[in-house]
Amino acid sequence: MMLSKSPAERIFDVSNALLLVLLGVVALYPLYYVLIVSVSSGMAVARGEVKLVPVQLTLGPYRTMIRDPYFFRSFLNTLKYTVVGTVVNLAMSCLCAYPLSIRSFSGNKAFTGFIVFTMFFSGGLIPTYLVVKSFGLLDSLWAIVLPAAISTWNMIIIRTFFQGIPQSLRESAQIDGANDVFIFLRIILPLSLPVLATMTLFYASGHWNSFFPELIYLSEKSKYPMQLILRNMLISEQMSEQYADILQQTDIAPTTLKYAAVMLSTVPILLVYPFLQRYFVKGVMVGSLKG
Amino acid sequence: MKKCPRFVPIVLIALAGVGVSFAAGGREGGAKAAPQPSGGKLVDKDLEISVMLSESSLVPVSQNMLHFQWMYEKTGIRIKFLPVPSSDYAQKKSTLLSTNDLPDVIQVAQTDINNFADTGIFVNLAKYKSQLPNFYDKVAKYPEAKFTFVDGNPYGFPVLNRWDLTRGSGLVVRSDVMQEAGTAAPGTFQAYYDMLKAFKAKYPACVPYVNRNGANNLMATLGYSLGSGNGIQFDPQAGRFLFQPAKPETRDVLAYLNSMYREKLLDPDYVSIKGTQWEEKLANGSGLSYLDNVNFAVKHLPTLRKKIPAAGWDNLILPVNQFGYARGLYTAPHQLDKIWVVGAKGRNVDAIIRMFNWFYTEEACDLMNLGKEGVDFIRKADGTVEFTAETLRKYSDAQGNFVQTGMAKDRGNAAYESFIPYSDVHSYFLSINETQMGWYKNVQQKDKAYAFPTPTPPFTAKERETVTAIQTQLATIATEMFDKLIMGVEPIEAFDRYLARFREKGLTEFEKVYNDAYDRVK
Repeated sequence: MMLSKSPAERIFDVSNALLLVLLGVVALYPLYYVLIVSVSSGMAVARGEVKLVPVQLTLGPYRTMIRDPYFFRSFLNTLKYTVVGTVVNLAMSCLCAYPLSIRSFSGNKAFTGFIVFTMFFSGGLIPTYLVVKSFGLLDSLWAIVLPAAISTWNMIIIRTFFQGIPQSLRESAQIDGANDVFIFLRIILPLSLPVLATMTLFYASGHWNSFFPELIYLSEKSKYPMQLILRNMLISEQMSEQYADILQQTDIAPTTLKYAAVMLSTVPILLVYPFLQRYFVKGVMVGSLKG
Repeated sequence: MKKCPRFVPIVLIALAGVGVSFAAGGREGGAKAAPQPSGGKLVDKDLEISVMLSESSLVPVSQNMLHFQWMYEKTGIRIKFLPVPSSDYAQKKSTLLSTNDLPDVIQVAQTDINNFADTGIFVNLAKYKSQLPNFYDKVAKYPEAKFTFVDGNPYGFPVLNRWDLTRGSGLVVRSDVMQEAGTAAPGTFQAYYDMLKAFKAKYPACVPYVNRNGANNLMATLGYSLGSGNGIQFDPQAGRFLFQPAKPETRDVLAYLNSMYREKLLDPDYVSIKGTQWEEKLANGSGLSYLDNVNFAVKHLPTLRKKIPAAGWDNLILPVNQFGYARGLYTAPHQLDKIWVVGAKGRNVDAIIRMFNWFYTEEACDLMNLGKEGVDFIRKADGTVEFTAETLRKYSDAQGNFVQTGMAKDRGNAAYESFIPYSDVHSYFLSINETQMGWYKNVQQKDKAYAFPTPTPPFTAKERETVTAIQTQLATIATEMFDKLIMGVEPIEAFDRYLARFREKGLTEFEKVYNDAYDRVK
């Protein structure tokens, strides 16, 4: 039998719901606004008439962006960097996390100390650039992937998850004759899907949004990721000031094009979240509860 | 119990090795050595030269731009463009300069030349003087080019304009609102102020003066015409470089702007409004006047007229300020802050020098900016040039309007956004309408208030250190002063306190360095 709620509790519930709805609207409206501007007429946007619903619906900006060979190529590049980068990240992070999760591993603390040190101190941009250059990595995919192969923070979260797996599982496998490769691949990884899913999301969204290493290490435009192109579209208007003399008046205002590009670059990574949602909460909690 | 999983370091090393070998395999070799020229071309064997430049999102650079294909046919030199988005160009350039990892040619600014010339990473062009007769001819013709020299030596090729349209920022006002408010074109800034008050009285919901990008832009545009300005500039009235925010006149200019702010004649959001929101106010009719690039008024007029059919804009003669003079600035006649330097470590320096010498010929100027004479353009008896109807038709939209950006993307002939050291920007003005052209020719070119800006003079190494040490501190104080005094956070009397802070941070020395350097080259 359910206890009936007091008037104060009901008022609290209603207020709570209203507040949360309000917060939800505040969080979602900017994204919604970008969507409705991207499908509205350029003139209506220029006059500031687009507030709640699209005005003079058009898909022109999307057509323009999709037909733009640079944008399409940069989209494929981003996809490549994200997939390869995430695979390398996960492989390297797990390989590093596994030995550090074994308490009996001699030198565990020293290695952990060395690794954690990099969270607080780095070589800086110029020395890192020189290292990447001396390895001959410039202008290649590996300049993007290898210097950032492991995020210390994420690796520690994975290590903490591995430590939560009962040690007795590993010991019984060893008694049955399993070596570390077998234990890692057949026991530890299958039991670690929540943290792997979470790290996939963390690493993938990091690569998807990344532009700085690509800017520094890549020279050829054909290798640029989408975020670099998008960033230029969004913040370079004042740099073209001398060119403003000859800006054309067309149906598609630059604002609608920019917002269409924002939608095209945001939606794919947003679509990944629902598929990893069921693992996500558990994976994140691991890092917060233990360590 | 096992102590340590030993495969981990082995896998790591193996993976890194694979990565390195892939990366090394993916890299392209360096440029080939340049042979001596013969047979009309600049090089015997085809040569590829890498050029890093800032790329505007408006006019993307591509490898197959028509004018650069013609250049290749003519010279045997193919340009391999390494475009970097303009939004992040400074960061990329700074990294390459700091690590001396330069392409064959790189676009830099005067500051970079000042900072890096003595490190030897750029070719000192004085050593190639005999191979650069065309460049030195142009330097003699446009002496401002010497402002880019360091210690008397050229380290880069500035963008010099053979032809550009004289124009500048203008004071534009809604003509329909002037008519309805019964106001005439103001002869003084006091009359302008009264006009804005009349606008506010008639249209309380509108903003009589709109500004973009904060107080620094407000002071650089309206503030300059009022008698002050932003940053250090050559002051035509004083005849020397002055840090404008520290001029005594700035007190009265800030008082004027403070009155505008208090009476809501100046946009209350002027501090935070960026370009897009500013344009929105021009397009929806809420902004009634501004002093800035006149193109934006023209650009948004069709949108505005859908809402207010009678709407129109007028470019006015600049009013006389409270100190008894009118002043405004034209766009700089040359792009002295866009300089092409040659990396000293490059293997094709001789060929690159020949290429730049060719760039500064009239023939190259025609080819790279206008195209082929008789096909793309015709030169009339009076020396003026016109693009042919066929060329214009090729880059016109469905309504028959010429689209300049279409031409620029296809041909790469937009000198401001491309790799053309000697430019002729006739093509820029093919698409602007008669109203705008009329403003440039009949208002701005005839307005005696306008003057060309004086470029920053070249400094010695010691002077550069002084400028670097002082400049940012003065600018920070100035920005704080502008906002606090315009918005009335502090009374106008606080100007004296800011003046003392400017002096304390080295104002006198800062201005002296500029004027000493200017005296050496003027």
